[in-house]
Amino acid sequence: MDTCFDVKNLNLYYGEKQALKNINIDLYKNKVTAFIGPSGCGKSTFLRCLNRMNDLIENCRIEGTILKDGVNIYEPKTDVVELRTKVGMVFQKPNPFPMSIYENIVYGPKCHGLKNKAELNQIVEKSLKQAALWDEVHDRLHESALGLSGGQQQRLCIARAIAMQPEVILMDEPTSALDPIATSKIEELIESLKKDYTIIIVTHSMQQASRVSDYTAFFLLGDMVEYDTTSIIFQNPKDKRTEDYITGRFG
Amino acid sequence: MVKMDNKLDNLKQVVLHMATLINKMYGQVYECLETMNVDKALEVIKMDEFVNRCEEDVNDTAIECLALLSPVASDLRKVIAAIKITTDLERIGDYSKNIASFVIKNHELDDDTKKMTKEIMDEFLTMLDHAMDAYAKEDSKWAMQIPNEDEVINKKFKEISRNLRNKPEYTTENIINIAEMLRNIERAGDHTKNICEHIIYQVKGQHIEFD
Repeated sequence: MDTCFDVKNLNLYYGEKQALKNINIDLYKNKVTAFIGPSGCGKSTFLRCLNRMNDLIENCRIEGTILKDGVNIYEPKTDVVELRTKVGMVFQKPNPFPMSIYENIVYGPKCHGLKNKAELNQIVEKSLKQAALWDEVHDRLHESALGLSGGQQQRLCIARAIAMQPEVILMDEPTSALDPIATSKIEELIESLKKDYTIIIVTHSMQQASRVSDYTAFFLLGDMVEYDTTSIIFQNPKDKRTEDYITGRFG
Repeated sequence: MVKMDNKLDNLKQVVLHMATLINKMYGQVYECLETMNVDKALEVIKMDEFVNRCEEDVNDTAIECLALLSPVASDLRKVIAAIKITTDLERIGDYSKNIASFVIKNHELDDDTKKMTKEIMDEFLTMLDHAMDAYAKEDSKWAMQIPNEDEVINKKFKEISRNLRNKPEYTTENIINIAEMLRNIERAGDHTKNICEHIIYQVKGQHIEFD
């Protein structure tokens, strides 16, 4: 199976405190991988390593390598903007820009110098269709994105990420602020997007991890305790700590 | 997870209670064979209703557990194993009912066949006891060994069936009826072997099929 990221001996420190301890993992292309674990276990920190979002944090030090297509993304010559174009991100709380739906989608491509109106229109339609939002908003593209419901706003954020034609979409608890119907739409969307993109999702919902992902990694206190197919993790995990966590007997 | 633990414990207790009822049924059905007591045989048939009710209880609790508590990993395997074990126990209960029907239809056994029937039934009840003990203790290593006991049952069944052919007091029809009655015990042994497979699945998460 093709890998999207090969992570080797990754250690991350916030000042003196070690937040990730010797992480080794291969993340597969066109698969959904879920990171689970209790708060503070390092799963979001690790997710942010994959597009170097941690660079923005003061005192954050990283050792080890994250190979993407054979190249270490932490090499000094890496173009971080280009990396983040290839590795898009969707956050916990929907964060559309305070502008129209249309402008939200074309913001990234425009920043990259695309000006052709027809091409931009095409990107808007394609991205919104892929994010399963087109039918709901095609007649109000120039209205404010802030007028959309929470679920629609989150799908707009996914459309905005897709507009940059990424290879990977990182999702950090993308449905924790949404109601069950909006959550179900996002989960269906994740399933349909994986044929074109690699999706890596951090979630606190065990049921969501088991519903949407092909692979699951369990993190605890900065260690990656277990990584396997979601089917094995939820039916027959090898490590007792994984078993205790997913069955709710942790601690 | 007190709620989950309570439900799982409840499932286990009902499964073990079901096995105890079945043990009683077989004890009583053997008495019927010895004495040809039709009233006692009718009681055995009645007892099977309680066994069936246990199976329904386990299914209801398991469904509630799946619907409300979303069990995973070993919790999920315990629920699935309980459902599967009770299905096998229910069949084992049916077999004792079939033996009771044999008595009601007034088929007599000679002393030698009675003795051998007692032996094969004892073998089976020991095997069932072992299986349920392995279930209670969640002992997969033991569950791997217990199916060997079924070979003894199968051998005994063949031996008795062969002996029947050498008994001039029986007509062909008699021989078929007695062999069919004994076949129930042999099948009960097969289902006990299935129970061992379910115990191994519950404990280890591995699907093993015994021949």
